[in-house]
Amino acid sequence: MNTMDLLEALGDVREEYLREARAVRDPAARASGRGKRRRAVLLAACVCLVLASVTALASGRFGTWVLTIFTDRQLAVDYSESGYDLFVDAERIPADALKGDVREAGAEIARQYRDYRPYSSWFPGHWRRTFPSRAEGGDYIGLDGLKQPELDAEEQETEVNVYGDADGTIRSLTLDTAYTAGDIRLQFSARIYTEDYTEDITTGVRTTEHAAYTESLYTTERGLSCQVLTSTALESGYAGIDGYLVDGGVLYDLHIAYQEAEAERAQALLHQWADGF
Amino acid sequence: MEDVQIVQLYWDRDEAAISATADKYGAYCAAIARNILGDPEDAAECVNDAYLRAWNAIPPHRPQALSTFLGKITRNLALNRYRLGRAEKRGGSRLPAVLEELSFVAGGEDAEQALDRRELVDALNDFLAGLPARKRTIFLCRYWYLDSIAEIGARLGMSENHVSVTLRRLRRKLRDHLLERGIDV
Repeated sequence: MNTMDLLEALGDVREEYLREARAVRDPAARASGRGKRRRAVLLAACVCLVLASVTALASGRFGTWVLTIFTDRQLAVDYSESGYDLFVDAERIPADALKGDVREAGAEIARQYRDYRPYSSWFPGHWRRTFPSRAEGGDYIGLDGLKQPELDAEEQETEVNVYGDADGTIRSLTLDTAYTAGDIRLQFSARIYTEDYTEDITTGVRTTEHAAYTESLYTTERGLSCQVLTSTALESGYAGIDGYLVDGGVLYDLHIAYQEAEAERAQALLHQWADGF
Repeated sequence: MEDVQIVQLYWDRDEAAISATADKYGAYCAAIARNILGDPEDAAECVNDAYLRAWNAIPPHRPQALSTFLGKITRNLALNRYRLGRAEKRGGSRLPAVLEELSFVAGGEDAEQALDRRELVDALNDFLAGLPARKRTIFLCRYWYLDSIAEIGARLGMSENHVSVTLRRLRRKLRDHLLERGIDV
């Protein structure tokens, strides 16, 4: 063992000791840090959200709106990112509309908070269950009208993620299923926000690689608008296409990763999915 | 902003997570990196790397304590940077002095004895658990955060000489503790 080994091993000592020392080094760390105001970047983000909200209200319909699309945006000296942000206007679902066993997740989340031990517990507020099929995951949620469009792809694993408060109130949940179609990878998500979710909803994509995104709209056979964002290929050779659609108070999105040679098939899968609503 | 909110920003892939992290923990991380690397520019680069590591790690990770999570990343990156010689040795680093002090406990920087890292960490945790909180803090301020003797003294209302003597005794105690555990020093 040399001195660097010892110094590095010290890096892994119990976090409680580090917090104890930090409280002496920085007495402000003992306080919660409440009351500090954020910088202009957050303010700018809020302004964008407000503008988007106004747009959504003016349009009088639910859906998604692009807030920003960016390529190689510099965030730090040697760190840039590409991606986009969407504003989502979706109806909030009453908690009693969730008729499946997912309601028990609220009690589990409350228990997480109650039993939370800062040094050994998983972060409270998030409950996850996996299911062998999307249909079973949907049953677990038990929301009438939850759409399960067909996809010519092989269904893989499904999971339900539930997010809630310390009092067991469920604020949002997602039903996520992975699919494969040859070398094409798909991820289908349904995101549900309850009436207790009072913040604006945004979603988006980030990559630290160079990628350019383009936006378009696809009108489904039923006349619904599906927002489509396509990205150029990443270093892996996979390009991406994402479809977003709000229906019945649920935000649905399908992410497809594909090699350039399968662009047409990826597009066909997206249309099949969107037309299933 | 509360840590839970910052972590949620990471999970939402919201770039405001970076600015919120920098706002709340930038100075904290920069101090750790600066103590190890000495040069402010190297330290700034190291902190930016730490933000990127955090961005890539969360999700799936949900750190229980964001401050120590970021501090550990920064410390590890700074030590790696120093060891790989990427940081120009412009002076100002406290690492040489700290390594010199620790050479009483372990072999020199060139020693190449195999060790079980997990066993060593367990032994260090046991050693720290057996110390009074004040001495534990002195030890970690010096050998985890690489604070100067003067800074530690000022924070704890001790003379520099008193801090130095305390650290010397703690190093001797650690050496004995490791030897008792059969760890080859």
